[in-house]
Amino acid sequence: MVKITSSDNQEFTIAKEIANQSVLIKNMLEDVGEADDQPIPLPNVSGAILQKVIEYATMHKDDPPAAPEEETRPKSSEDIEERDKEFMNVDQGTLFEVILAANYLDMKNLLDLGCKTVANMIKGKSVEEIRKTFNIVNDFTPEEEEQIRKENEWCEDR
Amino acid sequence: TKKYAVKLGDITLATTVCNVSEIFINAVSKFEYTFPVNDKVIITGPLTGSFDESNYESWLDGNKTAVFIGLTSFKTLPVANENQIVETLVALLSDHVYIDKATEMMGYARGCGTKDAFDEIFVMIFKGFDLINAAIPDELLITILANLDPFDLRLSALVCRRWSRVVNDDSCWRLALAGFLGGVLPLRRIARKSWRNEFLRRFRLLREWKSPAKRVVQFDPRLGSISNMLVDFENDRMYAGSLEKGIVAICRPSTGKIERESIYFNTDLEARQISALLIERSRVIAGHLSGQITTVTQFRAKASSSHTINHFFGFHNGPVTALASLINTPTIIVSGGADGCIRIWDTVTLQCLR
Repeated sequence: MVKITSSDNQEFTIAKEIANQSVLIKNMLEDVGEADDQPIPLPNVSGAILQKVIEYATMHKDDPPAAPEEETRPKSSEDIEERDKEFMNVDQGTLFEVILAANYLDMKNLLDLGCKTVANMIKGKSVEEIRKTFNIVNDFTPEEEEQIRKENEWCEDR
Repeated sequence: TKKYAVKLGDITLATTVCNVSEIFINAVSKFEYTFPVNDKVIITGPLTGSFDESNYESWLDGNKTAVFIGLTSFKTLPVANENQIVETLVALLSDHVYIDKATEMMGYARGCGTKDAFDEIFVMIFKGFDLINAAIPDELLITILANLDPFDLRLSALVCRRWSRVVNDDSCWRLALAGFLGGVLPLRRIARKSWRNEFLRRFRLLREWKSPAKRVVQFDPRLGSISNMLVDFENDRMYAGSLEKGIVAICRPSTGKIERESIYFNTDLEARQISALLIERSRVIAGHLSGQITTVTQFRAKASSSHTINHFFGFHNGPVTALASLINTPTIIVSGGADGCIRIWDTVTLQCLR
């Protein structure tokens, strides 16, 4: 078992095969050795998000390691497993924090999943719809916007 | 992104949860709150006056000590006493990345923040928090956007300045292309200028290929039976050769257009039957019934007259039946004849080597 603590000092005890899904933790464990009983501090991840990440890692603990041919198969953001979709059905704040945590913890699959989920929120939307989805303020001047619109003219006729 | 512990203790708290999308906040006094539950904003603080969009300036002035905190998710606050509100808020806030914004706002509320920051945040409260730009650093935004196809990617450049900058970074296109092709970059670039062009070109080609209205290019070089062909997409040329006529016709594979000039193997530019033909990108080699072998080069230039036609010095005793070139030594040609001999030729000196 491995102990980890979140930024807000919540302690989690998790199985090693779950902890090892994070390359960061895996490397840390290898560095400090087995015997060390000290919890691993993760100052960049809050307890709530860590909980979420552990949930993901637990869900995927029995996944076979990625087959090499899977790497070469064209990936599309459509092919998200149903349970992962369910897992990512969260508010944007949580979604972005999970992405940040996955990046920090070096969990490629979770990072991929997070990024695809966000990408799917962009796909097929108009510019105005994208802004609305993410509450993004249009900070272009009208001239700039016109300029960029011209440069991207062809993408209107999809 | 930094996180701050939030102390709300020195602010008198009343709690208003308002639905910003419908923008309405009723006058509230301490511990009176009116709220349809909303998942974006909590406003805390002793608020005075009634608010609507038109009086936002004056309402704001009268409510400087109010604290606005954006949240994307929260449960209905159980409000029993002040301490409990503080605890609940701190718990909620500490789970979110954009607390620095909230502390900025509180700084303003306490009189030590800037008006600009406050205004900016106030605008955000109306529109909801732009979390993706607040929380996600450039390198991760690139990773996210790289999942898009070129259409969505170019649309994304129109969203805001930051996205425009990120999308216009070629590394974004490079990553998008790699993802599109299954994690590897193509071995050969078809557009050298940028990865964006590379992706766009490949994507368009693929779409053209997949689209149900496939273009069928028809050729009619009028040569009779065609015995030899070479398609050279790089130079947009297709060569079709006929032994019977002794002509190689030049077509454009993309349009089906046949060039008026063909390749002949006699200096008088007359078509005569030949017995063997080898078409390569930069030369065509023909074996004649007479046993002679001819190479033609520089046929890419328009006029037939500029074609360089060279006959080898030497003959097979009988028609030439086979021709081959060596990949590594393009100056060597091997021929086989009906006479049962194999000859090796040097294309530079036009001599028979063996």
